[in-house]
Amino acid sequence: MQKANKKRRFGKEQREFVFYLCLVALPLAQFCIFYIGVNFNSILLTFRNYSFDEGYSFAGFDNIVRVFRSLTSEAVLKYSVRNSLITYAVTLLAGTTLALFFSYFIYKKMPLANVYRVVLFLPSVISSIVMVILFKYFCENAIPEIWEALTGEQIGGLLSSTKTSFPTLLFYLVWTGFGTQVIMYTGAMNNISDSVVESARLDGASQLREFISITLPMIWPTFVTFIVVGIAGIFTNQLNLYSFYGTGADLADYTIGYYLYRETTRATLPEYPYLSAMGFVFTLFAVPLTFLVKSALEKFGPGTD
Amino acid sequence: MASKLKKGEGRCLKIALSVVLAVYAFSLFIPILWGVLTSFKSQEDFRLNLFGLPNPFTLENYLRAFELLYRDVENAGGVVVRVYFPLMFLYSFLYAGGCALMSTTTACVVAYATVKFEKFKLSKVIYTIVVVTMILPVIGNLPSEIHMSRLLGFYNTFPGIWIMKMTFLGMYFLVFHATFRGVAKDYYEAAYLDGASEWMVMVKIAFPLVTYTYLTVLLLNFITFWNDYQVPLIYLPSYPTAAYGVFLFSRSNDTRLSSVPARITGCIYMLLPVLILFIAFHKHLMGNLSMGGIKE
Amino acid sequence: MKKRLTATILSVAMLAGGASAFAGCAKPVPDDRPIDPTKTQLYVGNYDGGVGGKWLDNAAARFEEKYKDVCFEPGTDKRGVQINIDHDKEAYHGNNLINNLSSHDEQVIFTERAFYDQYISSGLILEMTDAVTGDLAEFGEEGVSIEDKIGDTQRAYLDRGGKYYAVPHYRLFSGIQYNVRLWEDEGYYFAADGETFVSPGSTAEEEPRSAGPDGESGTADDGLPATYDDFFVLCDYICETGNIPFVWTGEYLAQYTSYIYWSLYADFEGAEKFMDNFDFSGTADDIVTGWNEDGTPVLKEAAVTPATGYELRQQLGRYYALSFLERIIDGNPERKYTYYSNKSTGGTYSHLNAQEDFIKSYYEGQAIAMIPEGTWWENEADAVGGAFDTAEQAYGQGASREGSKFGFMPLPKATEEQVGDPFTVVDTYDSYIMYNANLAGKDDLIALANLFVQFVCSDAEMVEFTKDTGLPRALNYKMSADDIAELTYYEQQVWEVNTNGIVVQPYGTNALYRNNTSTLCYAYDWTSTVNGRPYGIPVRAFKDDGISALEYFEGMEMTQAAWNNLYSDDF
Repeated sequence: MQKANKKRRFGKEQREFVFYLCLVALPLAQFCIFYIGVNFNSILLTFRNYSFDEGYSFAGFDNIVRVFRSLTSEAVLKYSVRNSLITYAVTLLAGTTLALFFSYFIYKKMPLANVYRVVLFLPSVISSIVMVILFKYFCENAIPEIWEALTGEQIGGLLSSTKTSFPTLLFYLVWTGFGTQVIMYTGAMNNISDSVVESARLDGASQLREFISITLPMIWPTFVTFIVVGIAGIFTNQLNLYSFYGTGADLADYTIGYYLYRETTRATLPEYPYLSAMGFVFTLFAVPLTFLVKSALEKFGPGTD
Repeated sequence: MASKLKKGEGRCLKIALSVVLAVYAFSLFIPILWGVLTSFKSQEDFRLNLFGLPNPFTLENYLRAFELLYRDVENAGGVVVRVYFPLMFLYSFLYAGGCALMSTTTACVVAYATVKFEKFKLSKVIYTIVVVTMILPVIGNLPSEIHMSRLLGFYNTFPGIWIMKMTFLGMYFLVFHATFRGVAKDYYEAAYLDGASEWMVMVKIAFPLVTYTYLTVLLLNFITFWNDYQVPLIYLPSYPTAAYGVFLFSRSNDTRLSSVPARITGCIYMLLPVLILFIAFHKHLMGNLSMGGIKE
Repeated sequence: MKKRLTATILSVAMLAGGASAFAGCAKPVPDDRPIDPTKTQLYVGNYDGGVGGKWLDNAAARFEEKYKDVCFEPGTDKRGVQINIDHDKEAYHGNNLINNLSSHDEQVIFTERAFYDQYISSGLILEMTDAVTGDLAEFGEEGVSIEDKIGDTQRAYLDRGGKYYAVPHYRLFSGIQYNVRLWEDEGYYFAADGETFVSPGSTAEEEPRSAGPDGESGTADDGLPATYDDFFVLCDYICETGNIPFVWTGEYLAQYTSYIYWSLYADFEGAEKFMDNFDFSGTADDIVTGWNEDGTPVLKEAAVTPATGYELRQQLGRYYALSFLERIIDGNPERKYTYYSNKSTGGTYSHLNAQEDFIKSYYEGQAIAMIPEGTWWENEADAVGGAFDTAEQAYGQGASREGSKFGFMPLPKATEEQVGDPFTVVDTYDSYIMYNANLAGKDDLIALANLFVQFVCSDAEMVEFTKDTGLPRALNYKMSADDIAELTYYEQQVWEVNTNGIVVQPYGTNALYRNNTSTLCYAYDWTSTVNGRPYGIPVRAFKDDGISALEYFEGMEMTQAAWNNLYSDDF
């Protein structure tokens, strides 16, 4: 009997594996061609050098060492790292918190909930080219005019002054960044069984209590996903700098994502290895951090019992 | 007494949230309204009257954009033809629709496979690949990507670009991953007991459970591709999409198009179809999951 | 739900199927000529930026006419050539071209911002030595080749072991542009004493003007400010008479304000010392190491090599240029004068807007005297921005491009001692004619392309180019007095600088320069660190944060370690 069981299980596992392969084989093949195949040389650049006269040469860890030296000495890189971290912190604290509360508001079908759901998602529907143009004109032309009318004081555009540009960019990021999160969170909230909510109500739980003890645990996987995506994006987030300024942003507003993108758009072949190494260094930081945060959140997150 | 307090507390929260939301919605509305108003202004009116109502009110920008928003491209036969906005819309639908379908489905299927068969080591590898590729910036890979797509005959064809977008990489894989993990194993077990095959379990049980997520992601992807001008610019030179058209429009050297009202008008043209689509379908797409199948 | 999904999939599939059918619905291009199968076809791509493409259409038409009966494909019945030109602003420029050139059908490319080495090493372009070294006898220039017309620096850069992969196309330089009519009307010229101004409306004959920055009377720059100090006396005077000295774009602030300090730097150092930034050889005698109590700089001499390139960041010319910019930003607080239009602070105020206001303000009460721009600006304001058209509609023929009178200002000198030094400008746009590698093996077409390139580089055609665009080609040629008379006033001034000033071509043949072009090109890295904060836009540092030019300059200093970290592989 036991033997037969084993045999059947073995057979089942094999069958499962074949099925599994059917599902992932094609996407994996696509990945191998269009990611590994296409990017292999680029990723390898981290450990190579290129010169127009001598071609490629093996560089070992030279480029990585250079990047570390630059990170400790160049002000623009220090600022870029700092700004990337601030950007993440702000989107996490302000963006995610507000997205959660707004989603809860919509989920609870409070007044005008349906209107808000459309409105909140608008910035995601409108192409970033348009949003940026609209916002830019507003900050650069309307606000100085309004300010002058109110206070009589002349000010420059919010996006073109060293004092206000960074906060304005952060504001824009949060301001237009709700859409996806709200949609995903309301979706997850709608999934919560009515009976659970009802029984909590009968027990006299307040809205806040309900949110913390029922809603949050139920949407925890979605929440964790967004946190993980955010952390993974710390060093690739461009803070919309390219959309607003092209390649002419203020150095003190740079993020690592923008720095790498900007340098890449104008670099020539021999300059790629250094940039590639920089990307590699930040990946080395971010990957373990991402997994660490993910497993911590999953481990210490609220239970759903 | 206690319950009264709680009620008050709830009401305060409700009012506070309502106010924040109202302010937010208002703040979004203002620039958009300004954009719409601007599209009805002439260049000179815009120069002198930045924030007022259009004076005179003109439809010229719309007419002109419709007339001048075109792109000359070489078609498959090597003949240069002029593509106007309506055809650009069709190309946009093809590009955004096909790519959204491909990438959403791929992410969904691979996520299902990696959750359902977590026991296989490959599943962990796939998850790690997704996270690492999200983080790792790749420098200077465009020429080799173009080279590859030409090599495989994908360059400048719709099926080609769809296959290139048949990727599970990106955040939506993680979304599906989280969604499938939230599905209780009991559902599957019951089906197995009824003698269902793996395929049946996936198609009849698992997928209906994530219909809502799938459609939402599909919509989000569709919008992203709809607004994307960079990929069509490079990979579909003979099939200019609307976003590509508007991008070129906004950078045009033509005097009649280089004004801000003209540029904004182009943007509004591009925005309208998605907006209509979104408003028409948002209830269906973001309604209650119960329509998809099982709700506890 | 499932039904809807199926429907969606189906409709997308149907759309896909219908796409090719729909593509047939695209209308033929109205003004496009059908392919003439009796002629040899040559495909040409042109970067359609500020210089435009009208000149090329004209040149191609002349070429077609000249060779209409010649057979370019022996063994066929084809006679003559049809040149198909694709004008595009995106495709033939910078990294876009590098990424896409291999997918273009175009065979001859006219481009801008092209990094030569990158194209060669990626195998994107084809050698065109025959075109460059071939005799131009066909065009009446016996014993002369294109190679003979290329300047020394550029020839050294382009020549790779006797092979050429590109021909220099056009030449652009930047600086300060001014409204000559305003100078005449308001009397903004310095009188012969060099201290007072001439009477409004007076001519040079009626009231002699000062010698100007070249120190010689009777030349084109007479009456213009000779030194920085003179320049700011003039700025005060402009404000006093109710006008505004400057306007510039707030949208592209970094780029356009750099035209001021960057041009001043090149002019201060002069061609030879400025070239140290690219050839990394020579001696710099004006490296600032500190300041005396009387405010004069303490200078040192340093040999410039690839290993000591960082020293150049403390060249005195950079400080003077920054201090000039600082004075523009500061204005004259005592008399409450601001030297720039308040529109310039808006981040949506484009260079086209600034050009328009620069042109129109003369008629609208408060005139704007100067704008930092490049030599292409008049062409751009005409063909791209349309500002001259609207100005003409509003203010008559005098406001049209032909009716206006703008000038390219010879820059004032930092010190009295420098007055009389030649005016130095820098050609910064890496504009070339190249062959797409897709021509490889097509000998008949290469011969045709060679002929076409030689044609557009013949003296007669280069003169036509200048008449069409108002800009000089980046090759040596002459314009007759009659030719020059056909140019607008501004274009004549540009031509004057091109022939009598010194045009630096900033290229280095050393490995350091070529392998790090994007950071070393044009010596345009003016980043600074003040109090730990990085700055890249001096105007903002001065205006928003009250940083002084001296602080900014000192913050530009680069250590040897930092230089080595970035560049030591290449020396």
